[in-house]
Amino acid sequence: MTIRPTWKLSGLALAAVVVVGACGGGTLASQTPAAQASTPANQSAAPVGTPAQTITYRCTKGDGQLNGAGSTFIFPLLSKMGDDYNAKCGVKLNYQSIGSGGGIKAWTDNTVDFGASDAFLKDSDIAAATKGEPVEVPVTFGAVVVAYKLSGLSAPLKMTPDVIAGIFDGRITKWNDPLIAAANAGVTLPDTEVSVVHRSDGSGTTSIFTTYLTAVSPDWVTTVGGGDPAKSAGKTVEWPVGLGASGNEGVTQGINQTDGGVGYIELAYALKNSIPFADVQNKSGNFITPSLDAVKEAANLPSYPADLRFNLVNTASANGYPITGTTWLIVYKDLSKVLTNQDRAKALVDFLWWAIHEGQQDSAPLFYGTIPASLLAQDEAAVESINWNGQPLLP
Amino acid sequence: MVFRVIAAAGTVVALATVGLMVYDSVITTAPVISTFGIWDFVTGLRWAPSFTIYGALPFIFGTLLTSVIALLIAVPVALGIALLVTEYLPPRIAGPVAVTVDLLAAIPSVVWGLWGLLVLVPFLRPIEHAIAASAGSVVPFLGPPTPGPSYFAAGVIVAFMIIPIVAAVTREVFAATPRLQREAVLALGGTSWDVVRRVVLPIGRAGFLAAIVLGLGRAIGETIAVTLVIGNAPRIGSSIFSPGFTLASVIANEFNEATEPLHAESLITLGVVLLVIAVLINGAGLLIRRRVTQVAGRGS
Amino acid sequence: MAAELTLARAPAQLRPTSGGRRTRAAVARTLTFVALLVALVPLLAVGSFIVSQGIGVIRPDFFLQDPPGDLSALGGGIRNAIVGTLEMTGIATAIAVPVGLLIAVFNAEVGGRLATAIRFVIDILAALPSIVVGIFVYELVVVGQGHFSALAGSIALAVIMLPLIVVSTEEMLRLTPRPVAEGVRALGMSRWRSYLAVLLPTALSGIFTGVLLAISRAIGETAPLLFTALGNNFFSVSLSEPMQGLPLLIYRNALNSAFPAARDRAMGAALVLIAIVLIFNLVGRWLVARRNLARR
Repeated sequence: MTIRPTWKLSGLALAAVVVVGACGGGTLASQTPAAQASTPANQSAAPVGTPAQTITYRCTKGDGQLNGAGSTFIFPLLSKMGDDYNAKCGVKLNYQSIGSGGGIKAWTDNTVDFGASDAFLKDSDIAAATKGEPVEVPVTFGAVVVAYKLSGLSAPLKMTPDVIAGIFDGRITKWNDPLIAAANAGVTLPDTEVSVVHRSDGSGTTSIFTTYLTAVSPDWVTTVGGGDPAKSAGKTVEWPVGLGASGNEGVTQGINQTDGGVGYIELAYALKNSIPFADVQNKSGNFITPSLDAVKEAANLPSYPADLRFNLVNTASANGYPITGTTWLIVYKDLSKVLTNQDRAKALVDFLWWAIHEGQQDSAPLFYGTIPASLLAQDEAAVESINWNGQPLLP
Repeated sequence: MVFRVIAAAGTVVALATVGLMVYDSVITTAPVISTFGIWDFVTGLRWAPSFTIYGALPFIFGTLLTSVIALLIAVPVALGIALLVTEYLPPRIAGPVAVTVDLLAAIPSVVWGLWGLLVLVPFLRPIEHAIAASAGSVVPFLGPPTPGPSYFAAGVIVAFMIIPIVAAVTREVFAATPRLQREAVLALGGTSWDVVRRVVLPIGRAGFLAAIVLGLGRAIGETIAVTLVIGNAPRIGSSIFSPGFTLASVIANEFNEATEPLHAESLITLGVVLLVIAVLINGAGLLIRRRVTQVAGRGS
Repeated sequence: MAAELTLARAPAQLRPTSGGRRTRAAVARTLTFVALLVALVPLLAVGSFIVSQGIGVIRPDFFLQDPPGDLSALGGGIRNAIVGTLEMTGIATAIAVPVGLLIAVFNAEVGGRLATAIRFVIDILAALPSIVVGIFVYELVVVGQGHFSALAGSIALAVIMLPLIVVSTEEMLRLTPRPVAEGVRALGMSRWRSYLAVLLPTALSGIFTGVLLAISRAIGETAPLLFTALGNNFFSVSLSEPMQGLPLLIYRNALNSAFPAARDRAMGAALVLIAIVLIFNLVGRWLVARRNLARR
């Protein structure tokens, strides 16, 4: 992990940063107010007392618009970020949540300026991209919860990895199954049929969830992947049971409509819809309630791989939530190969730079985890590596 | 001369568009066909992008099943409406009634789907459950599980969407039956039902059939409304209450994100399969229409 | 049909009185009313559902403002989607109408086997499910152009409208009274002028009706826009950027229970879309009815 001296920034330091925006000629010197220091976004461990630094957000306008598509998981966050960035720099961020698979395809086919995905690119995805090398920038973290609708239950259910795998690979068909009962001593479980709802679109949420199941359940790998872990984890898998619904929205809808319904959705969707979700047993044996703190625990790795392609599921952290995922923004490294307008390329990297710094303040209120201090420098290096025919795009 | 050239230019634009589509579909479907073979692709039961296995049968089955369910509901209803409007109601009321039924066609697909998912599916679920619990144990294809979104729900929604189309064409066909023969039946002491049975239905039969084919053509291509209520499960369900998938809805669901090898190509091949079915149905419709014109020609 | 007949017979057989035939007639009649009811119930149900869900957000601002940048925020409107739908449909019309007219005229002129072949191609276009149009335009335009765009959306809608316009125009030209056509030729007018000056204007109201009905069909389509126009949360009139349309806005937001405000706007948009389709549809029908009256 290399930290570039100029940008030794993270966590609390960010709040002290003086932001200078220069869009449309005028200087838009929006000082980050001191109040931001108290936003939970900035609570992530950071060396207290890092000297204040000045970040210049260049705010290149380009065509006044940037188009992105992909992950529904990150949609609430990008929507808020886009609004803030537009207010700051006058660039409209049009993000369409069509699913992570859609984000990757849109990036591959170069039909949008950036893709967003909750699964990092597979080697085959990179090979399929004829227009150049990718840069994958992790921007946020979140929990995928096992949400359910079951009348007559008050406390959240506890689920072991085996229970979750059993529900989704079809071994468990009734809610009073002995496996579920064993994990929930003292709870009277109804004889209701389990009605699984999964994603019908190529989904990063699915990727996070199935990567988790693949990591914890050999049964899952056998039933769904035919013994091949590469096939039992991914944006689309061959579901043995259940019905498909589009997007986190559709799955939420599907669970909510049926007594006995169960599915996997992003934490924010469950909270906003007041759908109950399970405490999940992690690697250390603790039952963890999905929460922002438990996500942060899981996201905080001692080190990250150089290409920023990493999995957080089945965390070793004692208090970490085991079904935690990352959303990457994906762009081409050499933008001169995919864009005709260099200003648009500048607008894109300016936004990315903003998103991994000031934009992070939007995370916590929406239940997303911020970029951990230990990752920020690598994120910065990734954004700096984006170029125009070899020329750096950031100032 | 100039005129002909300009008119020809317009035609060439259209032909070129179709030509490009044909070219594009040949190019993109070629790898799918060379990998799986046409027959194995069309009859393949398994659709598993993660395994690079693509079979179209669950979608062909879903498309045909939902269309048949839709026709079983829509055809009698449309026939009834057409008879009501042409035979039973006084013209002053018949006109507004016809327009009101036509309003069904003004509701966009996405709105039907929305209403289907939020209102119709919850409404149908207990009914499906009751049927599955009673008749389901005896009659095949009516059994549980009944999660709600299903072939049946999709069929019902599509039925509502094609009722106005079938009813409108049937209405026109019936209205065109010769007055003389109707009056003859009535003069012989026949009832209004005798007029329908002995004059309107025999003469209008071919036109009615053409209307059904037109409705069928619309039903197989219906996309957004079906996607929202069919449950999107890529396998052949054991019951009409099972979740399923259709050709059009799998394309809508997966095309935008098809990054697995051959996935996008396979979806386009499904599009070609859908197109072939549509053209076959359309061809049948043309044949019937031609017969209708001949019959009508003889009649007048 | 078969079901209808058996249903109609069954009760009559239960009561084999001398009035059997009359009973049968009454039963048939009743069943037709039942059929009407079966069609009216969903119409009323959808109508009342959309009105009750959507009316809450309808106020002048709803048409004049764009959605808030943060979609979860309350307020704002759907101006971008209304303008986008009208712009894309407008451009589609501008492409489909001239091309459609030319094809119809060409067919009427050349006749014979070539016309039959062209008609066959038009029939194929008419049979194309709209989602298939969407994937072809994606392959040919979006990928070629390198980005989702309003232009691609317009082209997809144009492909959907084209066959409808060709068919209705052909029908109208065929209905032009033969003496008119012959009289024009006899005057020695060039073919070009005969069409421009006489034949097309004679058929104008009919053609216009066909165009209106084609528009009312295209304007509510979601499937062809999914892979072409993509959608846009902002106001944009640029043909080379993604563009929002009412059906897209509804499809992407109406089920979004995590964003109640976005969901409400989508329901309002559904109401607006139905109203727009209805206007085009009813005006078209009214013109048909007027023409039919005039012909009588």
